[in-house]
Amino acid sequence: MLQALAMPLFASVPVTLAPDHARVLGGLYREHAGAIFRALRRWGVPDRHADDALQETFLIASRKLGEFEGRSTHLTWLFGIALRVARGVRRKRVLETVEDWDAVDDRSGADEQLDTRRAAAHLDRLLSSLDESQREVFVLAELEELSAPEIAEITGAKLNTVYSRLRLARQAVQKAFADSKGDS
Amino acid sequence: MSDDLSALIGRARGDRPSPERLEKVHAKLERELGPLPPGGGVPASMGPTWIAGAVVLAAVIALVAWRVWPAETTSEAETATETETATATETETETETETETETETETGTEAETETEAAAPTAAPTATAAPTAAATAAATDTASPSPGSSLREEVALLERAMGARERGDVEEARIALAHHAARFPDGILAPERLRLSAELDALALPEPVTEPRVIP
Repeated sequence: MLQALAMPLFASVPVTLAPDHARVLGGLYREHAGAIFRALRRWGVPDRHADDALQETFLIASRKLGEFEGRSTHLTWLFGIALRVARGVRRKRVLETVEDWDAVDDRSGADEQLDTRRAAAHLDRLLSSLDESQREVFVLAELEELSAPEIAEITGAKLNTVYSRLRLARQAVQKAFADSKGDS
Repeated sequence: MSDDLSALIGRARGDRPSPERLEKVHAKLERELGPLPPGGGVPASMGPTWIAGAVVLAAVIALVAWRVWPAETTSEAETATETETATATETETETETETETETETETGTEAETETEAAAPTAAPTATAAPTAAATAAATDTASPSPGSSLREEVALLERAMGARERGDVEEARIALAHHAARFPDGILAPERLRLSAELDALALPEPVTEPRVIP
């Protein structure tokens, strides 16, 4: 088990980028890396693997940049890649436990950062009550504020399925939230 | 959802990695892919005004270059002096020279590649690029002027912007394809990509106006 975790999660293949592609990718990273990182974390990618997952997302993007057809925004396109990377991490069974998140809080500095991190940790606990497909949809809709058609494109699900998953996810998260308040 | 839960999600939305952490990943990416200049930009945050400003600035540079370097100038001594006074156009000169030495077939290939990268839907229009590029290259061979190629870049992008303003996406894509063929690494290549991405965005469906709350 430990050996499996120690193995590199992401295999990289050297790529030579055209100058224009390098400029575009650099701009995409500057604009969207933060949001992609956040989504990866909320989808359950452990903090210790988040950097690698983010790197893998943009490496894949670099290879597929020439295939980008402009049917969606660059951000939607990147979310689609990141979602598949997150699924890959989950398949490797390296999901982070809630306890790991509590440890993150102690490393925070300013009060505002602490509050943000605690909120993220609390949200992660709520999200853990969802199945994977509901979690993906909920994060994209509520946290990243994407529209249902965009989410359908990212996840590859039908629009009605997206609506259905979102409705169930909201109910489940609301219930988990109420329970958590009752416990505290 | 309750207000409390919405507030929690709002606070969690602020949870982003530190700049140092992002920079670290960026450095790893650059080790894999080579330099990733941040100047590429993303169209979502840079609108037409920014592009128009860039084009106007480039036009001013082109005008200055044209005044400083008249097209008749041919002596090597004068060219050397000019190169020292403005390094910005040095790159332009190299790019122009490279384009001139390319065969027509090579130029066409580059046009198609560029078009696929930035705006795949314009692929059919890219076939017109080699002819235009070859004509322009032949013209430039007769009177190599650093300012002229920049002026040509500006003219092509202005043509694309004008077409976009008129709603003529096809014409805009043709102009961009010409620019990609003629100046694959031109000074205004980033602007070309932004404009191309804007055209892509125009092709997207209208934003969904239906309520986000599921009954």
